[in-house]
Amino acid sequence: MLVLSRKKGETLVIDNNIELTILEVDGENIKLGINAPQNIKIYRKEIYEEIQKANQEALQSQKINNNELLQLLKSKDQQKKR
Amino acid sequence: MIEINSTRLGKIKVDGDKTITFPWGIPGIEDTKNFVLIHSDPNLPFHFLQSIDKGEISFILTNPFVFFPEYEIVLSKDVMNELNIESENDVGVYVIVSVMDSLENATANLMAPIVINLKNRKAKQVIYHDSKYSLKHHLFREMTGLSR
Repeated sequence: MLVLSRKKGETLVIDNNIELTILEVDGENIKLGINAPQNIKIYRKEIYEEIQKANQEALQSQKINNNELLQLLKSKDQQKKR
Repeated sequence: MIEINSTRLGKIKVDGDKTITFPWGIPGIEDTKNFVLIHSDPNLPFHFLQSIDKGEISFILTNPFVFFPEYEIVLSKDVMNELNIESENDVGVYVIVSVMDSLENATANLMAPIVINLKNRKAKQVIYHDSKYSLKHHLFREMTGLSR
């Protein structure tokens, strides 16, 4: 991993078209500003990993039993009317 | 017609024109880009997002507004551009359903809905990481409000 030191207000340029600016430093929190082309997707890593995991879990879903489902939907409707 | 040997749905034939493309893939299965949306029973609010190339890959989707009437997302300009959305009327919004132990405990991922441009059939799982929605909202457990 390349490690660089930057001060508040300083910027890094990646591949000529991505800019990372240190906007604010407050204890353990760092506020980063990012300028990047639209096709570059930026996510907080833990969120992206959570979505990946959730999707993989969803793919393991059981078959939906239509009868059970209809009953659940019916009971939902009844509760709504109350 | 394309024939798909779907683990969930068996052998099915779909119209090639109905292909929905995820140019950026879907997180967790980034390499799988071509799907079809199958509404196997018109009485039920569930659809299947079936991969064309991999029979074992299919998601259960639902219309979030059926289960969570107050659900609301705002499509960003970026998403509108990426999917070439001209009018919000052309947009279909679905959420991925997870059925782990029992149907009663089924959850929906409201944080990352599937947004489809129904006109050009381009789609994307859009991540609303700063929203009040989470990855798992119970579909049936609570009938009012957003259950978690």
